[in-house]
Amino acid sequence: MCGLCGALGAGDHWSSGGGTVALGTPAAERYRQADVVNGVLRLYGLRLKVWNDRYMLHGRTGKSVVVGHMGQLWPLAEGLAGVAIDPLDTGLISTMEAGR
Amino acid sequence: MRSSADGPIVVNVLNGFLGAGKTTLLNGLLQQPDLSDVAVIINEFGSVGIDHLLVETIDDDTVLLQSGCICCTIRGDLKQAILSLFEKRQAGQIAPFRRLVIETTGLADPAPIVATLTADLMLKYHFTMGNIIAVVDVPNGRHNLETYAESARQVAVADRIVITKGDLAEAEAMRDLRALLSAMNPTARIEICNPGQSVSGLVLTEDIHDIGARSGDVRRWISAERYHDHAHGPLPDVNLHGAIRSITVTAAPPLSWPRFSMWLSMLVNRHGDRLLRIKGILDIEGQSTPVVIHGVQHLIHKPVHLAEWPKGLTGSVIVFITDGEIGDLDRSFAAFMKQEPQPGAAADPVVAALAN
Repeated sequence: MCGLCGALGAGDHWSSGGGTVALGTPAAERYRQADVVNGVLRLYGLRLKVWNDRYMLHGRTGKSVVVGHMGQLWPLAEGLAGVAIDPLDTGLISTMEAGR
Repeated sequence: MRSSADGPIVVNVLNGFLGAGKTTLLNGLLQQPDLSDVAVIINEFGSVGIDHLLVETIDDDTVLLQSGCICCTIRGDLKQAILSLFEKRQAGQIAPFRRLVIETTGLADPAPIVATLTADLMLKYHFTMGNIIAVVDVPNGRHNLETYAESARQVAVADRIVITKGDLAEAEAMRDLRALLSAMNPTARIEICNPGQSVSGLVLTEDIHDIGARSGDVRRWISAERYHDHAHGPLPDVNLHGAIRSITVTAAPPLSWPRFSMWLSMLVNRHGDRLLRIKGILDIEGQSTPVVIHGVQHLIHKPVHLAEWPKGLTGSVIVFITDGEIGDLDRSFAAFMKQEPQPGAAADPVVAALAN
């Protein structure tokens, strides 16, 4: 538990890999994850930054929310962006392909 | 999992329509010496009584998670029943059971049960999900699968499918049902329960947590999926079973875990209610051994490693069993992994290896 905010279990989500798929330290992995995710979030005017053992998601208007893990990220990102962020959306797929 | 004395208690979910033979199957399993440390929760009593000391019953009472998704409903009654058993166990009032079997009602969707166990903060540290078992009887199975979406979903999410009452129908009906079940869920192992006999306790114990069985299990379901893809083509008639589909995506180069976990978490967020089952073996950058992932709808389990690559297998393979058509998974996967879409199956490294 984070002593500052009292949030539980940020590192316990499957997306953190359970400590078995990391290339570096947990902190380094969070930076890697944020870099990758920002490649998608920037399309929606959002940015994810590492904040201690979790993340902070920033919107266009300056609004920010704490994000524990990838499972929490997408509903919050959709809330800030005001649109669905769908990996099966053909427009988003085309954009990702263009950046390949 | 061969449960250790202080490890989490493994939970099995036993699904099946009314009259399919769930309780009879469970009675047979509970009589096996290897399964003497099992507690049972039943949320309805059928015509067959169960002969076991550690039984709790539950009533209907559900609580919706904040996500609002019906498949993530936390079952308050179930949580209380499990906690009640656990507290009695800790207090020494009942035997220290190492496994819990939850027998559901015939119309139950197993996803809320899985959600209860994996999302509840009190339960998730003491319990871990094991195999989900679907019981399907030959005389009524096909009709139920064609008529009730719940029946099809029970089969779609199962790790093991047990066919019962084969003596009450023609052999051809058994073959047809088996082919249908295999088409609906190529990742599940299918067992036949003959009249008067029990199936092996391995339907409960041989699961993703069982390090010894993990590799063979992965190889089996990948092979089954491939056989299904190439020997039979698409599902024989999607309308027959509520448009349950199985889709396989593959990648030859190693995957970036941050990219993969981003893509899968996005997919689960948007389409989790229609992703009935996800099973995958992944070649992750920097890892010498393969990583296995599996999930049910919104719930993805933590990845686990195999001790080594199963012989003849290379590259990543992920099988999705979906409720209907959800979109171009293959193209999306390739785009987000920053890889070119994989060419046809002939060039698939996994298929090539299995063919040799």
